[in-house]
Amino acid sequence: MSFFDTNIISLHEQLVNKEVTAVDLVEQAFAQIEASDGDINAFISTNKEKALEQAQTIDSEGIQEGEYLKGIPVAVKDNLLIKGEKTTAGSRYLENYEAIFDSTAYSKLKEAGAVVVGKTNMDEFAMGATTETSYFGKTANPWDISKVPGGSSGGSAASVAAGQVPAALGSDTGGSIRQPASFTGLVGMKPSYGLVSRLGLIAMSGSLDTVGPMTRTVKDNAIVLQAIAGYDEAEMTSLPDPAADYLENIDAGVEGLTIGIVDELIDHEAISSDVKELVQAAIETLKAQGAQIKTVSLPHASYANDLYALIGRAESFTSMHRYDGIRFGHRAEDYEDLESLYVNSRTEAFGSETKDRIVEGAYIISKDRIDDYFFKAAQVRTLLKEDFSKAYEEVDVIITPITADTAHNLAGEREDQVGELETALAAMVNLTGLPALTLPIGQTQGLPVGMQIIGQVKDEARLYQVGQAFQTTTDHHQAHAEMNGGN
Amino acid sequence: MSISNEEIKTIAASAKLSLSDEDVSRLEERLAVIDERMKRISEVNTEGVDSTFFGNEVRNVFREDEIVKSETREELFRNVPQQTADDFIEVPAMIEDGKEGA
Repeated sequence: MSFFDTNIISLHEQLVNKEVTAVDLVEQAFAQIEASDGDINAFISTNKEKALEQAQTIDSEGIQEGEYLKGIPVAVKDNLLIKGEKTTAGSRYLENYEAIFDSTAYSKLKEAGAVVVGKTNMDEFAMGATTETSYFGKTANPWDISKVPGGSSGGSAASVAAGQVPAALGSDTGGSIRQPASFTGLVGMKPSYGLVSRLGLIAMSGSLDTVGPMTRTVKDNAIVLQAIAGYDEAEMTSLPDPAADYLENIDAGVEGLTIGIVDELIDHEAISSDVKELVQAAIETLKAQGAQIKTVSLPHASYANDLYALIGRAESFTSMHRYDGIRFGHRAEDYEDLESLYVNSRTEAFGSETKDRIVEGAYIISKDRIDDYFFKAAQVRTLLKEDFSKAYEEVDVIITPITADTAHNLAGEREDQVGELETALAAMVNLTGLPALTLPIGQTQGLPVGMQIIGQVKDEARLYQVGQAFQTTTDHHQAHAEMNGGN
Repeated sequence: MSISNEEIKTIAASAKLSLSDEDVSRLEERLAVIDERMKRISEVNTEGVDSTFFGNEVRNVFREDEIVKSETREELFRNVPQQTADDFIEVPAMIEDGKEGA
């Protein structure tokens, strides 16, 4: 059995029909992890004993039809707290930190019966796009282990793409679910800001952070989002509604749907011709199914990267205050006084990217700069939001590329122009609180390419409809990495 | 607007970080990029435009003023790096510059 030949729905049927047990699925996950994770390094920590125990309990309880996630092995990014387990955020600072409460996203997964097999690798404190800044080593792209999986949810992406688990949770602040999903041929959903509670998510940039699923199919993704979305009164930015039913009308198709295309983004010179072709082909597929295409404009999208840096760093500076060597986490051995306790603990235990971003944040909000750097950015952010609102008067969803080229080499560099565009394409969605789904739309030179579908706030159901319409008439989502050893 | 190495170190100190010379020269470049970003957005007309500080919504949630069970003391101390014998978090003295015997 391979997770490449199944999906959550088919596994669920097998579980209900008792063709397979939850214990079997956990054992399959660990067999694949054991066979492949030496090369891939998707996981920071796993807990086979606990997973098997949970699976045994589930098998004795039985699984009812419709309990889709019950007994399904999943992976969780290591910035989501699981009580009693180490949660490291990919950092030396939290290397030995044991969570004392469950993140809401995790407790909802648990309530749905999913079995977490381990915590996945990530860029330190989510500050990166390749997973290379992790204190726990790099993660390789299962499609080609000399390539990056993307980041910061690279471990979650690699775990699903390597057939270790059918689903994983990632987080997305400036593309960290969507970009690795695109690099590894997965479906990634960055939900509307506030749809999934951030309680127990280690904060990176408070007004941009979101939690979302990474899977191989659109329906699987909808199943996971269904489980983790919904109002959390303990989290003050939580959207007040319970989760919508994402599966109900998922097969509705795209007849009558209007798709917005932004010419400057679709045709941007930094996008490789292969990617442009694949995106065009994907749009044609949707047109053939009855969607209409309309040109829209997002005049302030060209500032997205600037806003993301100015606002994101400022917020990160604040998020990172709590790591002070006093109550938890790393404390330096050498210090003379309180000041040097703070400084040494933080300086020793943060990687250079993390330190750089903290200093950038401090710079941005310093007294003489805050007006021009941060408050001005907050105003331009409003204009970007208004751009999208105006566009949505004409169209239902907006399609853009998400990655301008395929994954680059580990320890390599991504061309500046390419990186800038990709950050803008992703971050303009975080800045505006909107949801966006990325779908695999094919491969070039053996590596996957994705496409982004941006929706209106709380319109995830519609994004899934578009994705499902695409996946019923194409088979890009069935392609998978060739894994030697295991499956 | 160029920034001196001293100023970079001062800013880092305000973030409770100490920087090596290598860190400082890397940050000089990075902060120059931040300056460029500020210059770019400075050209946007934002007269009369409200600020956006949150993703979507934010609301204060109040609860009844009743005692509820929260974390246990044991849980709260689970990750304390240095603990005294009588169950306090051990920290340097802050009076008289925190020197021993203060």
